[in-house]
Amino acid sequence: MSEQLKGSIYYLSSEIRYSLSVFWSILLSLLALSIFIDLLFKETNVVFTLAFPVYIYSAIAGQILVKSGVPYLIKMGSTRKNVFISFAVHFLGLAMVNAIIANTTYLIVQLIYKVVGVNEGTAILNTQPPPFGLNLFQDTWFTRFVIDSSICFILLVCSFILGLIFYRYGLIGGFSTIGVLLLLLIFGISNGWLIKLFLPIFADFNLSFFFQLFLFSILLYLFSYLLLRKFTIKG
Amino acid sequence: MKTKLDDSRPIYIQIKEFIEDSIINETIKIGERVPSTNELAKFYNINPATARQGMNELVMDNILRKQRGVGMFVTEDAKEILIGNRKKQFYENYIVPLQDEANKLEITKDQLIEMLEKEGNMDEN
Amino acid sequence: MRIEVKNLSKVYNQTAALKDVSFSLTEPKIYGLLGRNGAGKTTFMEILAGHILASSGEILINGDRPFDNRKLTEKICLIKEGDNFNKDMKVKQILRSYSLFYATWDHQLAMDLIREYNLPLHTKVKSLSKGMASALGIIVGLACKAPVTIFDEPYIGLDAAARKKFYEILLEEYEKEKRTIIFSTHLIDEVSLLFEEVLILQEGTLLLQEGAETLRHNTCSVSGPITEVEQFLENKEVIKRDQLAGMMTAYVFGSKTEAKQAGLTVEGVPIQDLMIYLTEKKGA
Repeated sequence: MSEQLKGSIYYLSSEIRYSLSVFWSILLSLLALSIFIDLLFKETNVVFTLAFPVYIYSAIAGQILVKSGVPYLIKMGSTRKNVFISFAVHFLGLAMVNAIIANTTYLIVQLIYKVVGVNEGTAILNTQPPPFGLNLFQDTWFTRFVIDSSICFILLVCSFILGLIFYRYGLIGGFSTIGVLLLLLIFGISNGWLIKLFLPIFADFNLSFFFQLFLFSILLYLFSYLLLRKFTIKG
Repeated sequence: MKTKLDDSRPIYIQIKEFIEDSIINETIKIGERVPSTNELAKFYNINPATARQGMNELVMDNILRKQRGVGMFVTEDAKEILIGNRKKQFYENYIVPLQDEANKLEITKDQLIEMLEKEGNMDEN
Repeated sequence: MRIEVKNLSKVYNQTAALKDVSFSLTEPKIYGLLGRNGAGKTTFMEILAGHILASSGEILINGDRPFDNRKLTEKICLIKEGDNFNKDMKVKQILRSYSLFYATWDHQLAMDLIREYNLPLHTKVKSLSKGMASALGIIVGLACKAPVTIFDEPYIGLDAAARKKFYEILLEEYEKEKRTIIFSTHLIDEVSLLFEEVLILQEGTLLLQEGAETLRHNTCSVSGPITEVEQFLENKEVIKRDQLAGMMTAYVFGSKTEAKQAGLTVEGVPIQDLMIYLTEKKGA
């Protein structure tokens, strides 16, 4: 088992290197550009968020990996159980790596701004979108890291499962699933019970929420095994 | 020596023929080592199992002798045995078709003998 | 590795790719799997390698099913015509990935072959020419040294010289270590000398399974006047008849010596032609 696991991890990490480097090069270049513009034009305040792009990347990557990862692993002789485990490890690693890069960049930019001594109020970077306001709990590198990792992870898991559904059941199956989920969402909100479900969670909002989110992701991921079990290569 | 073997005839027979021809025209002499099955397989790009089959038949026919660990060698009687066999087949393989063709072309037996002697004369010159 | 195919069927969208096929491949040999396009060869190989599932029936390798069976899948390597590797990966990474999955991987052989075929190690698969991508496929297939190695028409884009090199190396490696090699190809003429056993599939059923030498022995084409040929053909399995100007050429399972004695012109039948004639029109 371990040789196969080593092989899959090697394969998956080699494969992701390219898209990761492209993604971050573009993102960091845009960031550098924004900082440059911000420093140049004292009157304008440029706000840049790293979190959103990273979340979007996670939402897409999971889907793509279904087609670019699973079939080739199986062709090399991997068992589906091994695929299941190695993808879990891979997603975890990917989520954490992205979170680390994003938040370390934030730290560096803050440092640069301190050193340059310019516009303290111009915090150019928001690492999280507004709802997760930094005033609810301590704003440290670690907390941001936990938040980003768990969100990336669940996005990866969800898009992976969605990708598997599309692969196995085609466009019809995939879009039907999305449709059903959307209906549930709308129904749940309009009915109110969805809000009732989530309100207590947000009422007592603290970091443990994100650990729970992580555990929930693992549960969701277990569900993907049902789809992986009889995975056959198409085309 | 053929460079490529014929796919429509059993390969092992063609291997046998190749070795037999070499023995008859003394390209491989009595007591000499013949190419191994691996060498044959590599040269002709054939499956070694078929090469082996041909060689094994030659061993059974007493044309080759196997020396473990060293290779296969031409036996003392090999050339004699082969020439004897060929002579027996000479009539079937050459004379009969010759007669058939001669009959088709309405060449008489006397004309045939004349032609054979002509060949002989040219040799003497 | 003993491969047993039992009543294997596979249906895609109402078309049967394989119809209740049964046969065994009992020894390590070089097997030629022949047949027209759509005969079911690729489907069979994919089920054998555990990539897809059968609709009914089964394939047993040493008594076990290959689907999702690590003991078996790490001993089986299937190289297809294309799409063997992730296009965004570099050659070097692919070799390393395979080396981790296959315990029998021969790194030295892989490197020798890379040099032979002049493959750039640090290039991505998508930047390779078709010929080079195929070369990578056969390199992986050879270097894996898997006890069951399957080649499904692996040479798109490979020129004649590269193919020849492949056959030579295949033979060399096979000689050093016998394994079960299943070869499906359209270029039968080139490879037929390598086969020990030939299987011909036609529209999902097995037409023939026979030793290659036996086939060469027992099939012949006989030519002569129609009546004489027909007389010879009585009680024999005839593959095909061709007529022209009072003469007939028939392809038949029979003895060459017998045909010669009957005064007919006799020739052997190359395996490629045999395949073509046998699969020409297998109606009811």
